[in-house]
Amino acid sequence: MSLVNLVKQHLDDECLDTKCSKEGCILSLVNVPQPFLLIDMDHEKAPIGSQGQNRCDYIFISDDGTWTAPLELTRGKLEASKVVPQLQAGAKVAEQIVPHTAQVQFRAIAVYGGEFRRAERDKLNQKTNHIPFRGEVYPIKARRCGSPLVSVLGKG
Amino acid sequence: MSTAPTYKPLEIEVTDFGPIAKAKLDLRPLTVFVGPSNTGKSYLAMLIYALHRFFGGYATDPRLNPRSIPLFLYPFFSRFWLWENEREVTAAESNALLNWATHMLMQAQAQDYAEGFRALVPDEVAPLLRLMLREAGNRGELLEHEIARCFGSENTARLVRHGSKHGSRVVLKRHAAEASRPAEPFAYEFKIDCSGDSFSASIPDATPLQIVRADNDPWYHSKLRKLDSLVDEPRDDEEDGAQHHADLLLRSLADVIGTTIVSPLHRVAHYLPADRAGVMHAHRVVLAFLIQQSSRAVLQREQSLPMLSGVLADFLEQLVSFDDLAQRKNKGDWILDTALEKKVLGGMVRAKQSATGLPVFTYQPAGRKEEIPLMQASSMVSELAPVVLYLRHVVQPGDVLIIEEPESHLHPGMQAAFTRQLAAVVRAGVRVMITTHSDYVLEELANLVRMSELPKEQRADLKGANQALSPDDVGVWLFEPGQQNEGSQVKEIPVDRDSGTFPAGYGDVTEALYNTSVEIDSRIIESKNHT
Repeated sequence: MSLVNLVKQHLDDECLDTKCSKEGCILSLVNVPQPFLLIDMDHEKAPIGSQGQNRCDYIFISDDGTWTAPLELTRGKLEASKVVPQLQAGAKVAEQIVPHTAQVQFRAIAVYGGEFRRAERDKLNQKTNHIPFRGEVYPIKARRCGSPLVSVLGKG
Repeated sequence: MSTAPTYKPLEIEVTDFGPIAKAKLDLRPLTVFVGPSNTGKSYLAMLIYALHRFFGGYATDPRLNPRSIPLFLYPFFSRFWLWENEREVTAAESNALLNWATHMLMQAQAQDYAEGFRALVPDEVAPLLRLMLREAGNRGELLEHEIARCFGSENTARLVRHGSKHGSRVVLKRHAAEASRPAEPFAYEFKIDCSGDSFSASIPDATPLQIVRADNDPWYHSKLRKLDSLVDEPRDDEEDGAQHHADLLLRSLADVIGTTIVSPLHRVAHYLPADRAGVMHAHRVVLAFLIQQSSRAVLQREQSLPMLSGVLADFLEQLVSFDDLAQRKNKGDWILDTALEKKVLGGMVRAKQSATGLPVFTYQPAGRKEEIPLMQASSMVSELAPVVLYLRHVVQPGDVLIIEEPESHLHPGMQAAFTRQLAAVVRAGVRVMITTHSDYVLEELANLVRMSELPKEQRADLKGANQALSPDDVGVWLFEPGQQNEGSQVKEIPVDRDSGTFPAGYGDVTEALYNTSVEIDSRIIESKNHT
């Protein structure tokens, strides 16, 4: 069974979305790897795990490329202190809903408005601000609102 | 008189000039051009320099000689201009002119110099002045020469954007503010197309003529003094004498009003080109070569002299005239040059006359007695030495200082420190224009602008607290490249409140580099897991 179908078995279809947008910040899904699931983590039927108030905005999962990507969107500037806990919570949920046997490519992605300043880059580079997933820690990728998701997955 | 309408800022529109497809801007006390290479930042800076030379201190420096006049107003400064145009000043006009000028000057003198002043020209006098200002449109040939000279181009046709259908246009517009009804702006338009160059002036009847003295503008101070002396001059009762007096008064008024229309382009401008450090090192060699070639030009007619751009030639001309002891100007508490030496350069820059008559530039590091030749100093010192020397010897409050890429050869920390010193220069009344590729310069500038929103006591302990700049005093213009040789577009970028800087696109570069680094990290993790 494909990765998407495996994950979908345990999800309520109502929490799935086809547009990636929060508070005026959009991540374009043009040409994203197919088939895919986009879980709206703010939906009442979304799997929220046991992470209390912290949750990312979406989790993207695809068969092509076997991507697993928690997404955090903000129209304002990128602030490590705000996005890191959300993405860490999203990664924990992803660990629960993606079968352990499935080999995936993991990317934690922060989408922001405004300018990407060096000061925030330096904060994101700190190990404490990386995202744990399956025993490894991954740095966060960053992309401006309006960008296509495909341009962040697996590309420099 | 203070209830007269004021003018809006001068709009400068540039179309299809060099790499620029379209630019629309106004000049601020600190004007910054940012954007990728080859988008026309230096082109626009050089054009604005040429406009300053044409509309302002080109022929003679008005500070040295208050009776000097800008080049674009030359035509009617012939005593016979009105007569040649079959127009005489009537006795009624002459009286109205004198009465109004007397009253206006009394008002101006009563006003605190530090405050602005404005006065509306009355209907009895305005038609004559409009006639004179329209005549300025016949000086296009001089503007064409000045633009071509500044760019070191044989002619202005070479400056038209490649692929342009209609040629280049440079339009200056001045709208009246607070007008009771919408009025046409005053406009000067310079066009370059396949049929040649043209220059025209539009001085609409319905738009009020006024004298507007900006706060602390020494130029207006000297011009109004000149007007004052004319008004006080004893009048000859003979008809010719009265006519002559009215004629003189009219010319001076046209000077003040015409210059008001194109302000701030009337100010004296100085240009520090990007290759200033190299020129400072090599100026003796360059000059020796030019002198040698000039003396042989008669014998070698088939060989043409090498051409320099006007901005470089003007810089070179200024360099050879530096003499530290002879030319140090008394500027009272003006310490901008020494502040720059102390806070950025860490030593003193000197210009001394050598036996050849050409200056020698040296640097004396702080705490050391001996001076070293500038070419043995660090590249940062060479880069900033001209700025120090210009601030010490040349630039005065009210002037315009244009600096290409001031961040060259500066460590990021020094770029930020230099930006604060530039802000101090602006606060001292010098208008500054820079082109830059530096994210650090923009970030520090944004800090200085945002700092101005804090009360003084709340910002006192912040770096640059005394150099905070009002948002109205700073204009940052982004040059964005067009698609497929369409030319660049120029737009203003205000401080982005979220990220706290000017969004000039440097964040995209930071993001791209960062994401590549993240991708490498992620792939290293994945490859480790797969093996």
